[in-house]
Amino acid sequence: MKQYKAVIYGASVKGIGIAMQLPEQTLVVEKTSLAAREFVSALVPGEGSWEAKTEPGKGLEARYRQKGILTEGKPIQIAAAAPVMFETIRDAQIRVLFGTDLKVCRADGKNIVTCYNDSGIFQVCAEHIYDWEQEAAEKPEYGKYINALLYCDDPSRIIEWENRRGGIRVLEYAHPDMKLFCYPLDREDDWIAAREKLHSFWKNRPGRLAPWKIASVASAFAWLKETGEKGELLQPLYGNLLGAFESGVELGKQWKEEVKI
Amino acid sequence: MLLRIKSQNRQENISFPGAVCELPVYDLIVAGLGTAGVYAALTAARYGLRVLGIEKLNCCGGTGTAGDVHGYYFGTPGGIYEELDDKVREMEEAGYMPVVGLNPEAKKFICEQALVESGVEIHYESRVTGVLMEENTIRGLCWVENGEEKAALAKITLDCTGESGICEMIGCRMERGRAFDGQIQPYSVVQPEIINGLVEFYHYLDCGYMDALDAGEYAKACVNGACLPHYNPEDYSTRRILGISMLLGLREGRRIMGEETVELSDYFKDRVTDHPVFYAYSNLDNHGRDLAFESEGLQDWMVAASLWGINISVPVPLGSCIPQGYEGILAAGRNISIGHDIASCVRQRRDMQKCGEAVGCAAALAIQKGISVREVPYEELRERLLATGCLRETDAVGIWDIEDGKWYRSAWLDRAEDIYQGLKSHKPGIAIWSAGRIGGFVEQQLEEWLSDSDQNVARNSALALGILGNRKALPILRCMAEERDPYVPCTSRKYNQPRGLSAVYLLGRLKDSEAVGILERILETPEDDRGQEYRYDQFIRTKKEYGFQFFTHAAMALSRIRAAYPELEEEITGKLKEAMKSPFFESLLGDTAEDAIYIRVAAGNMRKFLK
Repeated sequence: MKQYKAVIYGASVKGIGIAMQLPEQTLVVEKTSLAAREFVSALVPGEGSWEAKTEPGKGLEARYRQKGILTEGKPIQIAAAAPVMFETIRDAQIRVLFGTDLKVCRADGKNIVTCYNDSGIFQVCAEHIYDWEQEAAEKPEYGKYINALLYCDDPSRIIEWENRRGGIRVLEYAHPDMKLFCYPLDREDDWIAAREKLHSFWKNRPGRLAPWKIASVASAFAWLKETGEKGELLQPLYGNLLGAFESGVELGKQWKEEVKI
Repeated sequence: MLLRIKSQNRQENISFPGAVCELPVYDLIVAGLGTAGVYAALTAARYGLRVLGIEKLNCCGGTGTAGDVHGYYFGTPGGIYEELDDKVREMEEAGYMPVVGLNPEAKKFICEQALVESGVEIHYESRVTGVLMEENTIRGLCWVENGEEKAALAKITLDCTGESGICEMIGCRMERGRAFDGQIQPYSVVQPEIINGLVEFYHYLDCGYMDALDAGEYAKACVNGACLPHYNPEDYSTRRILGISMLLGLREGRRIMGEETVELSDYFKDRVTDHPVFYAYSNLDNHGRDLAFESEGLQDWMVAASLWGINISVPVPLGSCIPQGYEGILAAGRNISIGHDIASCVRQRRDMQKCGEAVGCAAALAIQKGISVREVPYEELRERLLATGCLRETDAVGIWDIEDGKWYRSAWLDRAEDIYQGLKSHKPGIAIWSAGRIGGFVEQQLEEWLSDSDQNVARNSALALGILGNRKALPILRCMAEERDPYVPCTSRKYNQPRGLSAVYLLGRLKDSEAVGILERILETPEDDRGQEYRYDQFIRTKKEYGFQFFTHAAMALSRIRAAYPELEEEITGKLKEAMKSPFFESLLGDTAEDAIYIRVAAGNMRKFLK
């Protein structure tokens, strides 16, 4: 059975940051064909500083700025952020198995990871397992949301939405004719319940939201905590994509320096 | 009860570890709630069956939703999908962005709600890991869902996974790709974007080729596709990108060998089923540009007659959905038993939705009657399908053409004077093919028309005779090849072939040993347009693509001649080897243009398969 230092469940941004530090010793297992879903597919631009502290972080930030995905004074154009993460995977030669699910069990102090994909079933062994969704969901201050991108072709009709604690948020996006819509869910809501709630609300939405149209709906849940004076803002784990990436870089360095079993 | 699993690309049988009697039992399990699976599950549930739907993504609808291919490309109207599409359009009006096609968010929701309201038990983010079998009868499935292994039994299981993952696992006879090199059609990545207030998706590329059941190739495709400059431009500042599709756009994959198979060669001879469960309608939408490696039948249609753009309607029987030798399982979607050549027509979403409905209906009848799906009475099935419009009384085999932006029903010609006029025109393809269909007295006319004063008549007659295998066409075909006749007909709305290329192909088809010198010269100077300044178009866009087409067709023509004339083997083999070491060929192997991936891959395959 092949042994890895780490198996990362989900090609998350933090997971990619970890894997970048020890690509030969890490296996990333992602059930879809996408990377960075917890930010990109979940439509989570995040908040906070975009000043990188690590070299890989600086490289990532520079790449986003170079492409105009990240510009001063505006939220990141998060829906466009995936290809740069794929570039990172490619350039760092991170081993990612897309279209793969897994199950973990502990035996003799090790993690036995059973992977399932269209090539079949196989097992590997790992010292560390990292799962972004599990990390976020375990924190009670983070709530579950389904987000959407809104578009309005007539800015003169826009009326400000008042963001309040516990309620729906309408937040700024990278373009003035677009907004980010965040609908709070119950933690136990599955995709069927989530879409039912979102679309039912949208069908009967208040007049202030009438000028807006849904351009796209997130294909991953967002795990966000309330911030701001009145809890009007929402922030993911680590603040934003860069924060998550650098957290992964640091953790990856740490694991790299650990004594091998 | 045996559990059939796949481990490291090999099928294995193990004993099912759990208590079978404790497993939940369904009438029908639908694996894959994509294009076909949604309608299969919905149809069966509406007939009162207890249906379990297993889907690896977190939404249903497949290519049209998660795959972000929002618009339909041909396909036939009618069936339950129309009812859902109407609801999607209604929902779109109330606060969703207009898209080119059907709004995917509305479609995801409408399809899902329809399934839920009909009582389908949906398990998302669930991946099939094994098949429960008793001898050759499928009894149920195992899957992993959120890290937990589950299993269920069913009277019938539907493989709507697109890639025949279930059928492959149990050992069904399968086919994949074309005869020459097993190549399938390329896949695409889709990146929806807001452009001028509309969500568009059409600006996708053919990104490459892969075996979707090979996890390594799949992973590479995900990364390589997303990294192409087309999807990863240097300046996003004015773009309103909405993401990258969750599902890679796969056009072709593994197909089952069914109790019946729909083949293009049969279709050309009017040998079609008289018990269809749905009709497919489209052109032979082959995205490959390496047509030189396709079958003779397909090349007769595409290369000799330039009929790429002519739409055909194809009746498909239930037998195409029943894997040979197994009970308790059906396939629905692009993985049914259709030959590679016709698969490019029988894969459009409207028709795959109908396929799902037809299979769901057949499964329901079989379960309700307690019989094998092979015994389902056709008339009863037909009646049910007519009732929803999945089948229509007006459905029929035919051809359709377009003029001034309007589609109309065309027909093969059967009178010599009409064929003559057609050959004279700038849209000779229908006449060329019609002549080929008739043969007989028309063949004699064609031979006379070889010396017609009108060059179109003479040369198009040569093409028609070439398809008929008539060697009297050879002198004119040799001229056309030598000249690299640049004339491109207007038979199809696009992808018409230059006549010189058609001639090169036919020289090989006719195994003309006297053309060897001409063909070898083409191999030596493939990009030489003989000073005629070829007018590039959507099919041949650059000088290199021009060279690629002539090179590959000449190489394949020589290969056919070599096979017929052993005494020429040494000469031709030497020339082919030399050609595949030439700077031009090396430039094909090293071509990195992102919109011409077929060039590099085809060159690689040539080196591998053309000895």
